[in-house]
Amino acid sequence: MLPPSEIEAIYNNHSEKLYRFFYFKIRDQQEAEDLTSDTFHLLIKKLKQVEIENPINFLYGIAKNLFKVYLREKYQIKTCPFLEEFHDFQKYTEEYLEKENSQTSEELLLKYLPQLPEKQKEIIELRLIQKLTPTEIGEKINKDLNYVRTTQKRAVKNLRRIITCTP
Amino acid sequence: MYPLKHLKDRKPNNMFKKRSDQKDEACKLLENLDNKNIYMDKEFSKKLKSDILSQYEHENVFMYLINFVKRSLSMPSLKFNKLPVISASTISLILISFYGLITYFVLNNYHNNLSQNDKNEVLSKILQNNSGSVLKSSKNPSELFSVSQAVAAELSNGETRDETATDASSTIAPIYYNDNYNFFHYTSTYTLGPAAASCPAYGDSENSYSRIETYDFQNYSENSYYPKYKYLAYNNNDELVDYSLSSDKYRYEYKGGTFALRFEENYDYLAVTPDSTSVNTEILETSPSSTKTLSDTEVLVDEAGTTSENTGINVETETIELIPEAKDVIPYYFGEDSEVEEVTIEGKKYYLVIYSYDTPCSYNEERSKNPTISSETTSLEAENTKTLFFKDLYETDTYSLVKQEVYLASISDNNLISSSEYVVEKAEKTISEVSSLFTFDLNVNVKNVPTTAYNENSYYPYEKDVIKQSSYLTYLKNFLQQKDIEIFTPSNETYVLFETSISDYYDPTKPYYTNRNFYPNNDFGQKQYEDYLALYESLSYNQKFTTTYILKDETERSQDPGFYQISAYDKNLDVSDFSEYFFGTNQYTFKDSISLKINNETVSATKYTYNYQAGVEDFEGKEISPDYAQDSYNNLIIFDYESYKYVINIFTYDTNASINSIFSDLKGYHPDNDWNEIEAKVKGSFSLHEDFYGKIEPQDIPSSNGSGTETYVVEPDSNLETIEINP
Repeated sequence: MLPPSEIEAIYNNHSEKLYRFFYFKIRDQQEAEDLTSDTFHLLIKKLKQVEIENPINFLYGIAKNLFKVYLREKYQIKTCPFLEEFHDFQKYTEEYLEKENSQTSEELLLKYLPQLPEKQKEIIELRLIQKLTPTEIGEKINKDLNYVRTTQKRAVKNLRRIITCTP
Repeated sequence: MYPLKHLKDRKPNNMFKKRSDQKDEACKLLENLDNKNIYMDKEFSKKLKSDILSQYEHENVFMYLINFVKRSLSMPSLKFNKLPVISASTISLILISFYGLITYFVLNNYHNNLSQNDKNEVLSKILQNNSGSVLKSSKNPSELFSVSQAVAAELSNGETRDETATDASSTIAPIYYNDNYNFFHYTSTYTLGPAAASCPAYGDSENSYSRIETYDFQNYSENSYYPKYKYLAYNNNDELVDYSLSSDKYRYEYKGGTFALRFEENYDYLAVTPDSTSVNTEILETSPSSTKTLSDTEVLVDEAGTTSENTGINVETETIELIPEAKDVIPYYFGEDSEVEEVTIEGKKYYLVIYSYDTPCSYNEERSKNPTISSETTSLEAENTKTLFFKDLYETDTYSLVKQEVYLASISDNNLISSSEYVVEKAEKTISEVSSLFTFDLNVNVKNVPTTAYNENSYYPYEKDVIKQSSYLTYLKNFLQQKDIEIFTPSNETYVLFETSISDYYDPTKPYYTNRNFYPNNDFGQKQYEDYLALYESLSYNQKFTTTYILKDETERSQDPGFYQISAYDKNLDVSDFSEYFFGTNQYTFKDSISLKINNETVSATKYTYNYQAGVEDFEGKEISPDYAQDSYNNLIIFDYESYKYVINIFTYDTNASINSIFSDLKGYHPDNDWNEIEAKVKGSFSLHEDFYGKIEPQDIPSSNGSGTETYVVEPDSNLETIEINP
């Protein structure tokens, strides 16, 4: 049985890392916080049931599994290849955070945008890179406001899906 | 049974934002890409830590005591002297029990869980004492689930409940009759929670109302039952932005613009005398097919025949009176695993009822606005289906609903979609006392919406009825000529025409709903107007004509029993919408530019392929063995030809299937030049249909492949006739 001080140390050292991993993947603060909370609650529950030799490895294992569940529930994605490729999930998380931290929003957009269908890409470029309003976009591409809104909505949803599954 | 709970006292941080502060989804995503929220909310992190440590320490007490007993029993020095061990064990057990009791009372302070019988009793009383319009959702009465239809369906056919049923009449009657009251007046105030944006159907910030009033009156005369219902919704400025009045034969609708609409009601209420043990009349109203399967224990049969007063149509030779027990009805409102507790809040006792169900979070809204949307589109929204948790508080003496909170996925402050508070007035009133309340009294013009006429000739042509088939051919010719639509068939005649289906909807409400003046002259009105325009631009509204093909050879058909379809749509529709419409996602697997041959001319087309594992789920959606899963391909070949955009829909288990090439070489037949060929093929489809389904007696319509004609064609009345109503 770990002393509470060790649980506290695990929380202090890993909660922000896990939160940030979830945040970078999901890009939603509240959902990332919820997943972090779920991860720690599950760890405590498991610590109660079984002796765990390496609780930190276990913690990252829970995080990985919860993230898979999230992918399945939110996007109906069974799993992303990178989740299976990296067996040391803690190491992956730390490397990923370092890489993702250093990128600006524009760099990130340019990284993910090519994966969007053409029309959605066009709308997102006009909206987020050229900073046009939906009305201005409609005028520019000769489409009505409803088309712009609908396409943008789909594009954002797809972008989120792409971000979650990009290693 | 509650899901994992997060910190409860976290304040919602985006409630009550002004619209000008609200950002669209793209901007929010950009903000989040900017790493603005790269750190956990400090307060959240602090509380999560303390929550986890306290959970761990509590469990430590147990673990410590259990380990102590374990260790004591295993210590060799104590092996032969069990007395101290037993004493230690006893003390430990007492401590554990004490700890358990304390924990129980701390966690359940002021909560009193009820027995199953008490729980059913409370839920039955709740059903008797609340109007159907307030349970489930306060936002829009048309979103409410028609319990009566579902009960009747399930008792008769074993079908599951349909969350998206939108029969307006379902909201009118109370769920269970109550001998004491026939009048219900609810006022509810509605606020959005932080999770509102995640479930627009229940928490759409742009479409939600701040106050809703409903009036229900159950009007029983000697031999009939005409409920009256009024619904008023106000925005944040207390302006009336949604109004619905249903009284006798008319229903009125007003959205805050310069005019209201009047519809003639088509509800047939059977001659029913309410009784306190029966559910509302819709349950009593059963279709002929449902009478066949009802068991004796579930129905009482009155052998006197009954005729609908309104229509003169003989509804049934037997009047069926279902007397379901409350336990049969409860699950439709509260699910199978609802929780009921008695709680005390600020010194007053309430029943707290928690229940959940799965619902599409964005689909309801569109469907509620237009129930004619094809049910096929429900698959599109499958990924949008969420579990909503409802937390209702009812007074213990009157069983009236006083508060309802709706949560997304789990009950936590962050997941709150909406919160509604209710003030209720219940009374026994006479019709003269309430008649002024249910009279249209808004000072605006009223436009009469014509009742949709039904063109019998355009109906299903596959019955064994030569006259109907002949009429259909005439109708089809006129339709194709008028619309300038061609019929295609594969040049390789191994596949032949099996069905033709005209989908030329005319919705009599369209000229009104697409009139900007029907909505308020503000942003809210503009949004409503745009939503309706979008609805009328949807694919399901703009499909014109579909032809279905099957293999000609009956023996070969056993190898490929598939139906393949070519549909004509308005040319201006966006191609990207099709994959989402047909596949349920726009994440198609492949996209190719291909060439088709039509009458030996080359036509450019785009082929979208969606690859998925067929057979992964069974019909009830449960996962089955992956051994049975099979790679499957749904192909859409989309091309423009003359006045229309055509879509060929092919399903295969193999990307290189010959079926793809067969449907890449087509012959086109125009009704002006090639009517004889078309007629021969359509007549051939009548025979083929008869071979396939057997002879179909009139009105015995098969629905197995769903490609029968769905046609409602009337001449548009675009005059927007205004009628005089004297308030």
